[in-house]
Amino acid sequence: MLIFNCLRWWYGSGWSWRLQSHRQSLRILFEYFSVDALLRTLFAPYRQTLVSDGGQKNMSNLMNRLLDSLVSSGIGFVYRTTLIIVAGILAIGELVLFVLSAVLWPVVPLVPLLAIALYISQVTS
Amino acid sequence: MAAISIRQSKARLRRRLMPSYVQVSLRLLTLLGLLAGIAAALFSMPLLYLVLVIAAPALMLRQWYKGELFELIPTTNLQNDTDIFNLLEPDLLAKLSSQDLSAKSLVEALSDSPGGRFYAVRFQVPIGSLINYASDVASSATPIFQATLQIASTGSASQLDSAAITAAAILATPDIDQLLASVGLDRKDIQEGYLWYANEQKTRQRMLQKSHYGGIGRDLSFGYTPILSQMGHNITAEIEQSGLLFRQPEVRRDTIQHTAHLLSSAGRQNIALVGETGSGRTTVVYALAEQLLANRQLLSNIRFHQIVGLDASSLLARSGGRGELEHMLIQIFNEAIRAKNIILFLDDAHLFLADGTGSVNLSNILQPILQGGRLRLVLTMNESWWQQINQTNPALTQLLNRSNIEPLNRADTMDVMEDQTVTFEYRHNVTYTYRALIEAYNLSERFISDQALPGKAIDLLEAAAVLAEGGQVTEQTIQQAIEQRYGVKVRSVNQTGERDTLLNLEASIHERMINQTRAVNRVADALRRARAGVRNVQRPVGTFLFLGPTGVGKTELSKCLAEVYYGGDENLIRIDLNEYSSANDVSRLLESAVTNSQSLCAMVAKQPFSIILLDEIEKAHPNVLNALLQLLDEGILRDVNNREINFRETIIIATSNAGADNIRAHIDNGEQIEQFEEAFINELIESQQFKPEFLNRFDEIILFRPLTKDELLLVVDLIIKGMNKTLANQKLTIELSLDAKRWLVDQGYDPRLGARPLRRVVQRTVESIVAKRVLSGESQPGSVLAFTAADLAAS
Repeated sequence: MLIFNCLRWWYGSGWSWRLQSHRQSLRILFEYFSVDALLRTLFAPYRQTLVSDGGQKNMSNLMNRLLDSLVSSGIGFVYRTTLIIVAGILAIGELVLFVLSAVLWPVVPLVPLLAIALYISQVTS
Repeated sequence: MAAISIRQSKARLRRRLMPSYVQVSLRLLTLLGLLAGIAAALFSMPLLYLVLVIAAPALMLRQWYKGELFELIPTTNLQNDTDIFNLLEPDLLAKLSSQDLSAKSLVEALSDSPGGRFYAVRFQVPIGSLINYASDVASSATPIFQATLQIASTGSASQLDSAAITAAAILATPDIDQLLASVGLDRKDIQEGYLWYANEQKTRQRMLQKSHYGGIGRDLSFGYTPILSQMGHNITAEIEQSGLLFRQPEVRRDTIQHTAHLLSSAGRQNIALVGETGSGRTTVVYALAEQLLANRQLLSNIRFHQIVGLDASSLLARSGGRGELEHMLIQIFNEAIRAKNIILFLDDAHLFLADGTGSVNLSNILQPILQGGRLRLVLTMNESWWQQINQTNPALTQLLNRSNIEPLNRADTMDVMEDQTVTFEYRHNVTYTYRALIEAYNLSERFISDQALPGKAIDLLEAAAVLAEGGQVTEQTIQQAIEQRYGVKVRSVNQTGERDTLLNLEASIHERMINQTRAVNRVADALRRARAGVRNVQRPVGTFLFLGPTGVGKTELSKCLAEVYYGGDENLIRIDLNEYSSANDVSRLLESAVTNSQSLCAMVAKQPFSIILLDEIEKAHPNVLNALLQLLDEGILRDVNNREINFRETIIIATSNAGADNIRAHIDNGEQIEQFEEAFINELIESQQFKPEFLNRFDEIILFRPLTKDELLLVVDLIIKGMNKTLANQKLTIELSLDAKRWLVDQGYDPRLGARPLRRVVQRTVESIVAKRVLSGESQPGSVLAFTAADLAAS
């Protein structure tokens, strides 16, 4: 009875549980890298490292701040893009595992039978 | 035996798979199978294929355990299914023998379950001890299961846990009301215990769960805050590290939402949380920090903002002077503004907004920042400081959004305490009983007036942890904690061994004072009523007005009581009301400890378990007497800060010489006090010395009669006894002959002044002779100094 229940779970809710857990891993991965925040702030200055205008509003100060903002935003863009790429690579790895799981999962209960068959075929050949 | 259900079979398998060695073995087998399979394929070793025959089922078992068996969630819910076996928690389900279960088997299974242990520890009702009351007839557990469904419906659990069943089993026990009463509980407490268990489980789960509060890219768009990081205390970082383990009551959830709304909306992005110490102002800020991290529904412009607290005293200590401090704070504020994700938190904000010891007035710096609205700010302070700042700088308070933090009610305080016990139990390695929590609430509400709920109850809980005996904090431990901290007496007389003291109170007092038997009896009765727990706790322990001539023992009785019952005069608060003869003196009585630590309110707030001696009450201004009316009636006075001061644990004794000549005249006419007492009090009212509503407030008005010469002889004995106690260090003893005593009484007797001159005469004669003899070396240690009337007369 227990074997029957185990197989029922394996080909029923177990299969979707396995796939769900891969989906959960993907979610944690994106959260860990804060991909949504990185995309939202892709062109924002890196850590707000902007020089103060010292309270004087003139053309020179304005140009300085503009330049400073461009450099800071550039650094921020490179840093964030790198993180997004790393997250992407890891996500692809997780997707490969997802596909493998989906394919191999139904085969696992048959492994003992396959193993015996392979054993017999190799011993007799 | 009935067939077991599929769910029960799974629960039993789950129990077998649960031990860690089984889990490790399954993992190893799986790994071994994988390696064997690869080796068999690569090196043509067919025998190794057979390892897969075992490894594949091992992998399947482990996956099944993780995916379904571990939680074994009921397939139905409490509302739709009444079959208990479909709803039981798996641990208990695995232990039960069949569906035709007897109550006895159920109780046996429960005694070793988490719920059973919970009730044994928290409620001191070990379910195992009820086994003899339980029926062993088949299916006798059915009514318990039906009651369980009702108890479980009060919580939000999806399955029936062992605590709900234990509660139902306890309540189904015959004569349970009596049993519960013996440990100070009733049925409702047992039912409420289930909710505590359910919440405790959730708290423990939260402790084990790793919360995800955003990842490595979260703060990249926000700025650096080097000085603020060094000077401030990052509450958000603390929450990220350890999480928030307690629930927020409904009333606080509204405040948190309101605070978040104010901080995220345009305009004045600040809030002042105004409430008394202990009301949970700081907790609101911690809960807000957690919401900023965890709540996805929160407005995006403040999500992931960091709450950083500044501490005035540490800032003062780190800066060289006021100028340096101001410069440093301007830098900190600028950093916070530039970073774009900082919410500054100024706890006890009066330390930053008013001058005083350990504080610095920075309102001139803060005001323009608040006006600009560029810095998000949370402040906390109490009502009196808010009023004070509002008075001195109304422009500043107008810039702040005020939110009141009211003290929590009983139910919410109990919830907060239940959550808090998890931390205290972990920190102090103790367990708290349910009665301990109730007692902490009751006693803190009764005795602690300088804090609000739930803070004062939580403080008491933690203070009791170090006094726990056998690792358990009980009702008695809480009582012991409050006794130690406030010098009050709350434990029963049997526990403290003071039964004899109380029963022999009159005799003990009479060892120190002569006669006035009626007054002594009345005061002793009041004290006994209080300690036996039969008095009205909404009033002072006793209120007495002692009337009589001077020197007859009115003040002495108060002192004796303090000495005999409280073990010294530290608990005697003496107020000479002749110093309160003008209308303005009322405020002096009501001053708080901040402005006058010797005021009546300040002293009682510090020491609520006292005798209050209001001497010469007839000399007080009528306004002062009016102020005392509420005190005598309800045992409550409000100080100048409108804080309620509890006088309900005090004995109030007022003394007066009013009508002393009349008393003396009646006694000289040979009358007994009982014969003229009523007429005498009427005379006092008619002569407008006291208003009837004032006299009516006293429990007893006691007349003291003048002492006779024979009684004064006994007073001499008491005085000499006191002197011998002092001389005991030098091993000297004084003895007076009868004629010496009579001589002293003759010299010291004054019908108007009672026994008072007698002490002066003894001092002038006996003490002086003893001093001379000691100095001249005539008296050696161990000698007895005997005096006759002639000796004293010659001195």
